[in-house]
Amino acid sequence: MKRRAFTQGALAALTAAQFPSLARAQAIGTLKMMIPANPGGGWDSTGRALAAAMQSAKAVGSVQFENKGGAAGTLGLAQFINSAKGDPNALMMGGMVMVGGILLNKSPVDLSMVTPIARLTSEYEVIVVPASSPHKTLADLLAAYKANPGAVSWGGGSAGGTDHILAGMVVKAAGADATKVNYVPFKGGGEAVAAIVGGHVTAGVSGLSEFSEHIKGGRMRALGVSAPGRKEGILTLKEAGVDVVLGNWRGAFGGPGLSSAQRDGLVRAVKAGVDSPAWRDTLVKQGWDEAWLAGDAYKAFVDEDIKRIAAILDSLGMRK
Amino acid sequence: MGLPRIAPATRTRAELALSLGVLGLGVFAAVVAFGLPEAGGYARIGPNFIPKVVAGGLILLGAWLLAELATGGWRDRVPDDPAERGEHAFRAGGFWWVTAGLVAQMALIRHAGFVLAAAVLFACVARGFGSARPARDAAIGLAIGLAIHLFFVKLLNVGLPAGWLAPLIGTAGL
Amino acid sequence: MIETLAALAHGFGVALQPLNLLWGLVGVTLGTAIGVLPGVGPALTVAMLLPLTSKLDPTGALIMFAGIYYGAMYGGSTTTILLNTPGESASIATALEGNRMAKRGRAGPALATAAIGSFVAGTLATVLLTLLAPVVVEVALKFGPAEYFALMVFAFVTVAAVLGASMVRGLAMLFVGLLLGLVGIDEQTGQMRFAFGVPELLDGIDVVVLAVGLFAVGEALYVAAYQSRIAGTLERMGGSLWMSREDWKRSWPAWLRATAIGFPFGTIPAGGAEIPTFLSYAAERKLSRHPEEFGHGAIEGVAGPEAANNASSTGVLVPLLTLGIPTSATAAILLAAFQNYGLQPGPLLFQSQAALVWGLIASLYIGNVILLLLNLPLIGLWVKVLAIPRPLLYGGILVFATLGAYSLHQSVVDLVALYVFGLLGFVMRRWGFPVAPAVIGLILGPLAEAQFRRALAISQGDPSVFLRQPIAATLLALTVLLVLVPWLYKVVREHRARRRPPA
Repeated sequence: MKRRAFTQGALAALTAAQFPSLARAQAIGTLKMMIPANPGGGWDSTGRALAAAMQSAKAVGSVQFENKGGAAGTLGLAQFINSAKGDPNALMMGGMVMVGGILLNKSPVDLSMVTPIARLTSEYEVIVVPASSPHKTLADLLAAYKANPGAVSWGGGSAGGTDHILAGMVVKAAGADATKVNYVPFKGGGEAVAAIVGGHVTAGVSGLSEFSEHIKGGRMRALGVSAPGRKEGILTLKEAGVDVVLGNWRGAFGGPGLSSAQRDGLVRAVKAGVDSPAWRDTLVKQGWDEAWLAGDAYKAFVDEDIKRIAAILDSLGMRK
Repeated sequence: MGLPRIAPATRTRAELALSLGVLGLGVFAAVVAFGLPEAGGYARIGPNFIPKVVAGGLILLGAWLLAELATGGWRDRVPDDPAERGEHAFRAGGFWWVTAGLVAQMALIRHAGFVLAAAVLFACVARGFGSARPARDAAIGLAIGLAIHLFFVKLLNVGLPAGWLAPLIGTAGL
Repeated sequence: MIETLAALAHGFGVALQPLNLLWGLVGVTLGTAIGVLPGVGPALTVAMLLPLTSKLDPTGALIMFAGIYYGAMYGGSTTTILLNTPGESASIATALEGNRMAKRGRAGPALATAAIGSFVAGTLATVLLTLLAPVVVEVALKFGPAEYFALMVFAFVTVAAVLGASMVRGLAMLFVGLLLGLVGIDEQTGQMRFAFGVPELLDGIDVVVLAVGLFAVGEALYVAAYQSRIAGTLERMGGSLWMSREDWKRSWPAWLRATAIGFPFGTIPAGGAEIPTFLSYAAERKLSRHPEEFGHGAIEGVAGPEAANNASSTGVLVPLLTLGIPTSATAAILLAAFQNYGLQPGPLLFQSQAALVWGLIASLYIGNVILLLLNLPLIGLWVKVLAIPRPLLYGGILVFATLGAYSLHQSVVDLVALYVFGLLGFVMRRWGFPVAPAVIGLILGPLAEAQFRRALAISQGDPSVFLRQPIAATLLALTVLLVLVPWLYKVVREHRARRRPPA
């Protein structure tokens, strides 16, 4: 009901005037979806699931996908900026990984050049140790770090990525020197999991979904999640003693130079998809946390996140 | 065959150029490597360590190639006489038609689309290999490109640029 | 053991249901088709088919995915042998001898030894998976960065097998490959190296672009320039389609050795699929009674790498099924398929979903049989591809080669890179540089560097870590022996010959 009221804005009238036969039911004929990653990854599955949900809600007719992976999504971003200028039917997936990638790669293009539409999901991180580790709590691990930072190796994803950032934030929040983090990046989730389960690193940091089953299976011990509340019964980092919240968010962006009317049209189309049973279904299946935030609020969030991540990358000594 | 054997001077020049090429690549890699930061954190070796090793190896191998050249030419070399290799002399036409096809495809793929670019590439390559029927070749190339496009875009829903043919073949999956 | 067999028998009961057999057949057929096409790998196909899982029951869907996985692994060998365009990195080693065989009119036996080798290795590896999975995985977990680095060093000896006529030119190409491997973002520090601000270079140079550029584009340029006016260089249907007795005799030991190399490599989480194929190639070359045939189409050089490739892709299922650790892109997608059904691979899966797991394992056996039955009759058809007139054949090869490169990033930069590597391949061939060492350098270099620096980071800069870990030390010692023994042998023999001058 609420959605219908929302849809009946002034802009729906305008769209309806353009496509009288499609009035409101189908605002966008063919949606162009840029996925700045190769098929199969997180952005790809989010983008394709969102597109399917939007189709099921009849907010779009057909969908044309373009996968352009590489350099933390900045290749796709650059192409999107060129090809989707003022295009009210184009969407691009993006997220926190791209924010970090832009900062690290000194990318000539950035997220201020596109139009934030909506934040969709957020995934929280977890800090673990191997089951055989002497460290029982986060406090133990941080005490060991303070005693000899080099002896505590942190395994996770790429250098300067979400996992590295969280390790830095936790150490910093505990009042220790973040530049001394002995971070060991691994390629792909599987390698990091194997290194942690095999006891080759002291601690591990990754998205909760990557580690969740290994925690349940007893091969890893969870010390805290970066969520605002407990997840799967794991203490929040705040409860474990450091006041850090970090969500690895994913969201949708529109092309550069959209009018606010065009932007609202896209927000509505995405919202229709997100409200559909198909999307609910996907969230449950994939174990994603909904993190809806749209329009100006989303833009403010993205700007804030860029500043926050830039600051932490600086204190990790990652931006030279 | 048709052309005279390659003069030894030509070969010496080529071997000199390639030896210097390997050496130069090493020097270039060294210059870049020395410009990279030292900081390796706890590993003590940074992002510049392996590049220096590789640069050193290339310089050494370049010098070795030069030494072979100075002492009577490279060892175990490929015969200069095409006949000895069971080949004919260099045919510029063949080489340049294949090159032209690849360059044309680079230029066309984004705007004209994958299908048309593939047709042009196919026709150029066939020409380079001696085909005298450009229209037939282009038609075959078009058919192959179209089949690939339909498989990728319609069936797998993975993008390939449709370009000028977009109104005919569509851009979205089924 | 008895329980295992009983569970497996039950699994066969599940997998042999007509509907599941049908899904297996669909999967293998689809997999073979996409394996033949460059630019679409098994990971992509399974990802695209994931939405289907909501309409299928889990057993049927997983059996189909397993079929795709195997089919694609095998399908890649077809284009590699016939057209010299390896569509994925695990097929590159096959190209070395496979395409030479095809050139000599022996495409039939090459495809046959690849198909049968895939079957034998896949089946043996599945037996190993059935019996040893829980044991093997504990050993696999012992591999950390130090052990991996030692393994990479060991793998570097494979280069010796492909150096060609001149050691210095071979090594020069190896170092060119190593240099290319440095391009992009440094994994350990995020530092950009040799990328010169080109964003497409930040993720490094894709090995498929290098291999297809050097092999296929380089060859097209070379043949157009030096051979295009010579009639009948391709001996079209010269030899027999089928493997001779001699071919069998030379193939089967290669299949077995390749299984022994490929399966363990697949099980270790960062082993990768390329290294075992090159190790197998090197082993065959070293052990062959016909070393002079290598480089001109030796059948062992096809039988080994193809079997190794299939054995390692089965090995990958060990950490996936027992721990839920995906160690290849395809395994990651298979994991996602499991999760779509709310199933989590891991030790518990064998108990909680025994019917499904054993159904899957049984379907691996059946998938291998279907793969063989599907592909053997197709060989006759495939070989006809070589009867296509050369202008059209090379036109098609380059369309497929450029498709594979372009679909990586949807970027013209990859097409430019493909052409540059093609030019390099042309020059190398004319002046007698072997191309395979460059490919090995590009594959091994980044892996070795990453593991080396990870190991040193964990040990805080103490290099003795490589000697203190027993597995790493053993591997390094083995490498030294492998290099030194033949050399010492030669020195001693020459020394003796000198002391005893001919009478």
